[in-house]
Amino acid sequence: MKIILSVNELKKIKKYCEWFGDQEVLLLYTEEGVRAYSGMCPHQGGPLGEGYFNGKSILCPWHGCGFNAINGKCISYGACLNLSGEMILTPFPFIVKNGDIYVEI
Amino acid sequence: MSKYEIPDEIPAFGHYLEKINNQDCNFEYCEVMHAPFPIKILRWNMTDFGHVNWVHRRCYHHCKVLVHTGRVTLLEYGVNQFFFLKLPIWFNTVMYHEIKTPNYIRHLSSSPLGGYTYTEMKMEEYIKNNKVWTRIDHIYKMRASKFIHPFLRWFIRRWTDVLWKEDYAMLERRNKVLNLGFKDHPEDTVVRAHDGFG
Repeated sequence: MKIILSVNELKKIKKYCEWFGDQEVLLLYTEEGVRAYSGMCPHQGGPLGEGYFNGKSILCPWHGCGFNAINGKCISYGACLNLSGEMILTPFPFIVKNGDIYVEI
Repeated sequence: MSKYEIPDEIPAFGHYLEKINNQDCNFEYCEVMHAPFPIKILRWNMTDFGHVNWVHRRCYHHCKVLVHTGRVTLLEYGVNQFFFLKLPIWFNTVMYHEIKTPNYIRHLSSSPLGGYTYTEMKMEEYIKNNKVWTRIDHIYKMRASKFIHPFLRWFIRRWTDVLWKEDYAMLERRNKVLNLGFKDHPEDTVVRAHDGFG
């Protein structure tokens, strides 16, 4: 478990993305609380940390794939063509302890 | 085989641009770029038309695949001709895009003011400091009044600068995630007609 940042800080900045070795962790402060996902878009590895986030959904800046920030499911395909099956963000296990977010990396 | 994996052996179709006479061109400009990535990363970028709608919003209003077959794609681009003035004025152009060999891509675009722009991208890999680099020769040819040749050179230089900066960040990340073992979401094997982007 690795401490990333506090819930209060995330509440202010809404989204936070950082590389830890080979892993890129994306923290989102959603309407239903904190969520931790891989920062790589499942489509082609785009930088979700640089995408537009409105508290409910996040858009990948490469092809405009939209994901529900609460459950990670793809809600719009943007400019992606011919994809098979459902795309979903890769979640990271995390806990909130004493106001800090710990992510299992 | 993914669409980004192009075999060395090229089938005998898709050489249609040779039939178009570009000897009438009186303007030629070559921009040489060096990138610390293998050719397959650059080719992925050059054949990924979807990202144009999102990454290159400064220079393009939209990019729509009209027809795609084998190595040939017919595209409609909304081009922000006045990108350097940041004016939201764009013109529709049609582009014929062809992958002639794995290292050679070329296209022919209509110009909103008439005429055509013939573009070639020749790529060559080399090793520098134990790293694979690619040299890209981006050649533009067209016919235009000699009075505007200096402007065209300036325009293409600015155009390439903007696109290259936007693409470079994308290429860098794509190279990194693939080296870390990232696998793309699988493509549907059923080929459908393209009806524009959402």
